Amino acid sequence: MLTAGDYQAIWLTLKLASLTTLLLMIMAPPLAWWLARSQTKIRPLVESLVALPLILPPTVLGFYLLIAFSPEHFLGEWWLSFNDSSLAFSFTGLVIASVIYSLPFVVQPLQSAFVHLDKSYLEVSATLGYGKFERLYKIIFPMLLPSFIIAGALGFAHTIGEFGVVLMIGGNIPGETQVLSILLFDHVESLEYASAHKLSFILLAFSMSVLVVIYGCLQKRQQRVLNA
Amino acid sequence: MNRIRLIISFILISLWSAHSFALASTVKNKPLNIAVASNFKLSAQHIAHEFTEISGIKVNISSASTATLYQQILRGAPFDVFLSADQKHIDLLIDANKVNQEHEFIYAQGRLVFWKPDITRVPTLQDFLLYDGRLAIANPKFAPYGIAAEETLKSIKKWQVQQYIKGNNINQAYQFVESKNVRAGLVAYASVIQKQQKNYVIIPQEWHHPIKQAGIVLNNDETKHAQLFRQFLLSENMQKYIKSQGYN
Repeated sequence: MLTAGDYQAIWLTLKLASLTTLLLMIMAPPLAWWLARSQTKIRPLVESLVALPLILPPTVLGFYLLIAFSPEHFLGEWWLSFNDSSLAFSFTGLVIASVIYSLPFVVQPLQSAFVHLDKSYLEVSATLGYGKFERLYKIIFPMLLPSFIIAGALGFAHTIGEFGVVLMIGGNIPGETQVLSILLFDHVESLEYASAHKLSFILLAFSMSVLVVIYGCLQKRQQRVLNA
Repeated sequence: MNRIRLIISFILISLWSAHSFALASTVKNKPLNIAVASNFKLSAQHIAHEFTEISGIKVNISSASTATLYQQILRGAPFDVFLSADQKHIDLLIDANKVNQEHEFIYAQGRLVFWKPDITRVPTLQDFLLYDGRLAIANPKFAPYGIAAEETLKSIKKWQVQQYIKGNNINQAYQFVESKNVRAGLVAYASVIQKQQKNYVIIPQEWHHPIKQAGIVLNNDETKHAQLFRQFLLSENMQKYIKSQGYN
């Protein structure tokens, strides 16, 4: 039913989304914790930077990245000093773009969870003699597990749905940068509506399932809070 | 009391003038909506400007890739004239009974160039034949200039060995090279002329099918503005201008 090219794009998209989510789940929690607790004056500035991809047209990000990746500029030049080809039109370039693009989707749910975390739990556990890391693994992480799941799922789903940025810096290379959304656009532009229908349906079904899982998760948590 | 009366009369006057202005502009000067393939956008803007100067008819220009515009028109987009980058999409519209064949015309013929801005001299065809880096082209699956690029590379037996970066349209292929992310590309002659670039060589016409850019009048209403525009576009002066912009 699906062609080899379709499978390749699906695999590439899953690879991109998984890697991006992994990186975000490492970077986002400390950042979200800092944003939730810090009282410094530069916090609104950092908070705005993180939220920017939510409101900025993807074309702006794509345009700046294309310039930044160019060998004429610092980032591109530095990259080329130990690599053969430029960051633009490469899988690595897409990972960098996706991390930036999906950052707010992971940071914001975590940040709000951290803000609402009752401080008394941490204080009680401190009096029990729990160290910093013990508190993290025994208290914070288990209590906020649903928020972590939601953050990860949103980051993953959002990366899968990325289009504008990839269109600008991807170069449409099968197996390297031709992700599902781009291949779909490719099918539509070449008037291959049957293939376009298949891919669209896959993306629709996937996005819907992710959202159902996320909102189901939220509902469960709400019930638990209400029953407590 | 006086102030309220003043405000009310002010509002009424502005409403009335806005209304009459809108009325005047719909009746006398309904703008002509023209859909233009992205490679021809700059030239079309210039021609539209001249056309408005002479006729007093306003022109709105929308540009996108030929395939995108085709699909919009197929689904009833309100364009009066469509200037495609190829003949295929115009023929598809005719096949779909969306337009009348007699309104079709060829307004320009595109040329491909091999553009390599990072060398200090003008490249030769030999440079193109020997170039083995990544090459920026328009997507050969649907972009007319991309199809010509594929034919060119096949005719010199480089299609299998060359690495490509595919732009969604010919302007994006140009942009990939201009931003130095790719060292060379097969781009439109019109682009290098408009951007006053020097380091390019024209691809011989025998290496690919001619890129015939066809247009069609979509709206043949009583004003005949669209027909007027077509006549203007095909007039000797404008054809001379189009030629100077990198078309045959």
